[in-house]
Amino acid sequence: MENSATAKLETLKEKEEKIFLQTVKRLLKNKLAVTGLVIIILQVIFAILAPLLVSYSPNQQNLSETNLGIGSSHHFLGTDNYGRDIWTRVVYGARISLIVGLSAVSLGLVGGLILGLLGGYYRRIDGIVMRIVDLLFAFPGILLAMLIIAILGTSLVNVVIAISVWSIPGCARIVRGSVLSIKKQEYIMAMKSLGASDIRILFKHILPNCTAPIIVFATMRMATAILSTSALSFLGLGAQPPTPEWGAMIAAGQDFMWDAPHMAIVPGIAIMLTVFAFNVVGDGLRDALDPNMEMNM
Amino acid sequence: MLTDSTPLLETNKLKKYYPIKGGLFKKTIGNVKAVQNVSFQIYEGETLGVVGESGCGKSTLGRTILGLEKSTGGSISFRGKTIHHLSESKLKKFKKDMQMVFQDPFASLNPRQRIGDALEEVFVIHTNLNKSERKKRVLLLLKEVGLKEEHYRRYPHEFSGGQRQRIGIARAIALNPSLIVCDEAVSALDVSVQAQVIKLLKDLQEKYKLTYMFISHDLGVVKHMCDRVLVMYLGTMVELGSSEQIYRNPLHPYTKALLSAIPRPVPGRKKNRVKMQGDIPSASNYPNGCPFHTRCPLAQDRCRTIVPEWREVEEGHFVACHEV
Repeated sequence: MENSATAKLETLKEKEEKIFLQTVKRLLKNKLAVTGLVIIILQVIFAILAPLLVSYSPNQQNLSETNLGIGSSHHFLGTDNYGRDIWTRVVYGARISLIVGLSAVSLGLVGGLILGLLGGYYRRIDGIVMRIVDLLFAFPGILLAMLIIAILGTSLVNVVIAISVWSIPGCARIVRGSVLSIKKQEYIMAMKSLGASDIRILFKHILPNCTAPIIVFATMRMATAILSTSALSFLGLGAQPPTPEWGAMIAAGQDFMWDAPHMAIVPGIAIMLTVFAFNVVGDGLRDALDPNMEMNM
Repeated sequence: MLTDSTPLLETNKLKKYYPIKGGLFKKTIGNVKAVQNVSFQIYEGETLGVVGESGCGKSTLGRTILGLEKSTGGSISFRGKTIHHLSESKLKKFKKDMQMVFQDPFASLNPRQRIGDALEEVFVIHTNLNKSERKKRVLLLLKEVGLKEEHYRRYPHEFSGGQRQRIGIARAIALNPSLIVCDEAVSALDVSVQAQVIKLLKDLQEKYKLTYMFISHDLGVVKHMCDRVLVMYLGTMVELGSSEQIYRNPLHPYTKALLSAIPRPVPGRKKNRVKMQGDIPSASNYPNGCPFHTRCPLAQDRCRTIVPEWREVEEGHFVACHEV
């Protein structure tokens, strides 16, 4: 009895002891995740400091220097068919991707959290909430996004709305699952016996205890959101030229694939690196936050 | 014994059924009868022990009384007022007066909340005290249960099982309730810590005139702790009496079997153990007649068909058995 109690205490300790520091430590052990983290941090720095890092403005045309290749004297990533500096446009593109991704994911999280918390906590409306979620799940994501954009019109703001709606069902299911398991815990029962209101229980006691899966979901979702923004812009449904959006840049570059392949390849690499980075960080976070992994280590 | 005074809490034919749903349209196809026709009184200042094996409905009974589970039938009254039908907001007033100490000290505290915040929350919910007043009260509470001021800023995982249970007790007594339901409050602790926590509970009872409903499967602890004992089997009451009566002169064959199963620290001494046959029947497939007849060594024909009456055999000693 004593042994099992101490063992239980130990695992609990391990799980909760400075949970943040431990998670960070475990994350930093994962080389792939660190690579991803570095890429994300660099990208954020580029996005914030964009005007300081470039010597042109993103839409500044120079018709005497069109289609310059990589490594040109004044344009180290070359220029496009209007003579715009590709490095400048890629750096400004990072801004757009991050802002669109972040706002789409945050909006989706808010919606998903509300639905998930309500569905998980109140059995009576669980059925309704989950059928709405199933309905959203029934559409392939990109099709749903295109449908919403078809209704609302093409613009980056509508892309944000479309992608956030697409993020809602996944988030709602994850949150609902966590709520279902947490609400059976004795400390929730204890709060009820103290007469705490549902809102207090939901936001002060249930929500803080289901952050781990939400963080992982949000990170992975960033990758999807950025990729989808580019995909929609490539199809002409998102950012419109001359916005320096990566997907739109690829779309512009595809006509010059033979003469100036870097026009499409450079933003393509930017997308690839970003998506890769968010995915590996999400994977790393999932492993770092999973208490079961701890026991294997 | 305070049997003459008005009861603090009284239940009358209290029932709690859990529906079993099945089939295509989730129709109710049966009931798990967790608590069946339980009627008893708890008097101010006493400790009522509730004993029985796992799954006999002791915990459900406690939770139903506190309104954590909605009762299916019967009534609960607290200080003469019926409370089982009250809405959540009206019940809040009574919840101040009835608190619970939980079984698992590792699960009954929110792992992401500092102890100080957890205890202060009680005052946030029920009082209008400001931050510094709340903190003062919490520091007093911590001292009251034998913890230190520096524990205020710690997280639950930094405490041992016994300390956590003290925090649970502090939370329960924070609002000066009159009734505390201790649901296996010491079962998860090891023996030496158990003794300390029991002493704390007794000291607090004396100081604040608390009334306990002490749910436990540990008959030794119950004997030490309780004035009266209620024995439950399969959701029903089988015997109720003072500790003295139950332990000296158990009448129901189930009580006898339970008591003879207490381990004695005398090696080699053979006891006439009352053995039960078979397993506890499922509460969803309730036996006819006396619920205990499937395992009772004394079972007769009438036990299989007629539900035994709840009768008083001597003063304050009740039993439900045909053969006594």
